[in-house]
Amino acid sequence: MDSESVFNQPSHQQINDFIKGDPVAVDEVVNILLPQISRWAIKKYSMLPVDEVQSEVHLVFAETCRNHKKYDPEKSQLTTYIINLLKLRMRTLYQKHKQQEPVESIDDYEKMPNPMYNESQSKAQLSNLDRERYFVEVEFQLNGQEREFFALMQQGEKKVEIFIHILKKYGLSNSESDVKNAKEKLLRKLKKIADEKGFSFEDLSE
Amino acid sequence: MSKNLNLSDQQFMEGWYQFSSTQSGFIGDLLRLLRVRQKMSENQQRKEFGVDKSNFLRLQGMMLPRPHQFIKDARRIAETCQVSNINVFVNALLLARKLSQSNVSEQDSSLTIPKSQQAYQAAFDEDDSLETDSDDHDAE
Repeated sequence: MDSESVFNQPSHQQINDFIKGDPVAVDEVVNILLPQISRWAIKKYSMLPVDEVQSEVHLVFAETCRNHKKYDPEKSQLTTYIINLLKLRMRTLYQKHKQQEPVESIDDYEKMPNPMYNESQSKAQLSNLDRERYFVEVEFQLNGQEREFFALMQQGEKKVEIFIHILKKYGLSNSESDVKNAKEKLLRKLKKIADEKGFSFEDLSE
Repeated sequence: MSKNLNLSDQQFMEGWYQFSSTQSGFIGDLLRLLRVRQKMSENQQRKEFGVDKSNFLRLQGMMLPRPHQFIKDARRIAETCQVSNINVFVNALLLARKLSQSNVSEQDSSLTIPKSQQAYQAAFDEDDSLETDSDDHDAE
């Protein structure tokens, strides 16, 4: 699993004013979050064209700004909220590109430059592709609570209170040990998905 | 890809402002409407407000003032973007808002035939239906 750095967050006051639709506060929040999330998205979805990834980031931010009242800071951090919206869009974009991939044939394979001679490079490319396919599959198979946990764990979130809040939101018990159990259960599920797809979970986690 | 990762925050924000200024709900959309009506270029409008290019881009990429405190928000936006002629900007935004609202009402009435068109219909009536009185033409 990719370990992402924790995002710098807007202040509570900026968030409150953002929700009220204060245009100056909205601009401040976008200034804080957009560059960070753009870099994160470009890196995470490295197999997709950068300008298309950037375009999706812009669309999600525009949607979030216009619907500023919809964001509830009690439910999640704004970065988590935005990233969850972005992932839904990226899933569609990824599927679109997947459908456009040429069908592999022996002719296509033979035309590839230096097929299999540069093993380390081929392995790196294959791992990136596997990684992206894996994460798309994970998005499909996880339930709501597991998706939110997964997103937070990817961001490197450490605060137990945030995980407890998610458990509470889904009507689950909310002690620290339950958070630990939920994380372990999620990791087992992620490993199982990797095994089913024939991937090495340890390699995907690097 | 690595080139985009190395973009500065400022460059990411420029990309955002260029995008958001074309979206509904953002100031650029409204200012564009005003420029079309006033037959003004973007540069002319920028100079009218007394703002540099970089801040003008930011100004256009910001969300519209809230309806219930439109003027107050517009002033704060102008101050944030270092607009020199704040009153000119605020008035322009008020006018643009009015134009935008009148555009909407014009579209609503587009299905009815305006009275001006109805009045001219008589000009196309058949000659036979027109009354003719040769006595009118005789000079007495």
